[in-house]
Amino acid sequence: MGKLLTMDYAIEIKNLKKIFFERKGFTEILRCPFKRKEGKLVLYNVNLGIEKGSIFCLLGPNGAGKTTLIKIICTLILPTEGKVFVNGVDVEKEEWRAKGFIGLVTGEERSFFWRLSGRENLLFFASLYNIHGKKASKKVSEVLEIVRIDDPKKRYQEYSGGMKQRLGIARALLGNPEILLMDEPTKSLDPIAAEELRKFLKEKLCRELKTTIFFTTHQLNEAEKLASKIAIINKGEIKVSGTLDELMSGVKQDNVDLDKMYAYYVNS
Amino acid sequence: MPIMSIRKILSFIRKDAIINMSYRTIFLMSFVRIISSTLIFFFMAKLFRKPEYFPFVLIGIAFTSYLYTSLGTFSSRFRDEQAAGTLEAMLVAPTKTKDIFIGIGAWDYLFTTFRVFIYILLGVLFFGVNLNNANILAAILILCLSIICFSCMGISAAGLVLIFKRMNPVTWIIGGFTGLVGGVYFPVEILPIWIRGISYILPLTYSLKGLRGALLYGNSIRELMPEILLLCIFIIVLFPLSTLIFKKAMKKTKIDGSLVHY
Repeated sequence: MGKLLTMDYAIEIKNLKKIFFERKGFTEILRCPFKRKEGKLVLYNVNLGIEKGSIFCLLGPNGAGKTTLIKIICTLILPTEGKVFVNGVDVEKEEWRAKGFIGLVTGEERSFFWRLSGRENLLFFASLYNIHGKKASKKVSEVLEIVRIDDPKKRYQEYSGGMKQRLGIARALLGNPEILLMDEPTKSLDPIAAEELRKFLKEKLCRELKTTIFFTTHQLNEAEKLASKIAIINKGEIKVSGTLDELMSGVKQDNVDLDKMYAYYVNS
Repeated sequence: MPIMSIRKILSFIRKDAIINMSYRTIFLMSFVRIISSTLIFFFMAKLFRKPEYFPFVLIGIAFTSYLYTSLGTFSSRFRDEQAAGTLEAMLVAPTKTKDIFIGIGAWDYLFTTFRVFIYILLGVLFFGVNLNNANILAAILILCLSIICFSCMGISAAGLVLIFKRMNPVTWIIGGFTGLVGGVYFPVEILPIWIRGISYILPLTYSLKGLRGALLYGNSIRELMPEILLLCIFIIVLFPLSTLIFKKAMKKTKIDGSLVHY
């Protein structure tokens, strides 16, 4: 098979590097007013290609750089070096176009208006996705049905953790995104709700709606159950990338299981 | 403005109206404040036997609320959205930052307009303020210019809040000075000459002078031309400056990853 071109990838990341420069404290400013504080390297030499219609998992421990990478893809953070393309569109140069392809789901519960109902929240966000009036109402009903929220008139503050997470997915689906970015999507869900969500992502979104899903997690079983390809990241560096079988066969140990494989690459 | 942007801004207004009206007590208390401040200045005018003072100060306090709204709304609402986590969700949507910005402030401007209307209505109906000679067209023109001018200051304030998070230096400096030297409570002419210099560099001074001229004395647009021109000059200087400050602040926060930090 020939090499895939930029346009064949839903997401393509080339030589990405991100350094965060911490703010100087008052005493540091007085001591060395012109010296820049040393930066913290959070992503280094990241190269990834996520094929259209696939489920890709970015696996790594806390603080590995997963969330930063997602935020760079969805234009909330600018990279220090390197490029990110979404459906062939440079997210830094054509932010506006790139946003049109993306839906973002965060593990955060605090991204809705607590005094509004679930439906009112979605109607508001629908307008930001250029859907208004009757079309918005229809679209909101459609996504509420997809994520199976049957009590959308309740205020958001009255929703359970699982319902909030589903509403987050419903919002991300409003703009019919070709790519769904999910940052630890099952973080606040109980095991049954998490399993339901995984099934929904795989069967409904990926298989039926052909959505490309890029998700982060630090749960091995989640990556195993859901992803067609996995990348393991630690300290800002992609340690390995491939199918689960490829990852397992790359471990030079006997009786390899998921935990051993993960530890092997994280510590490599 | 494209129709899509207008519809988005209307969505912001609808959303904020639902949220604000859900806090019924606070909503009602804002009207109580209007009545109490109107009464305070009415009785002060009576106490000093200066009936002409009440219409003067009524216009001052009513229309200065646009300045405070402009300075406060963008910065505090941006911070609120940051803290609530909703800013991230908005910024990921394919909506221009400009539309989000206007949308975030739209409800506050609308509510301020309603409050100003109540102030004026109370003054005319119950406290003998005479607006029979008012030149409404001139007043609307000066008000529009003033709102644009004040919004520019608000945009700069929001940019600084994005960087400094808690501090809002523009609001502190301008908000603090206007009460004293902007001609809100007394004419700037009674100030010592060295303080008067500050009032001449504040757009509020010309805004209030123009509004009083139009509403209380029925001055024509030609008579109000000096104030109109000065407000235009402020806009010409402040608009590109505030846009630049905000753009730079956005870029900086995107580089250091603090756009959604609070």
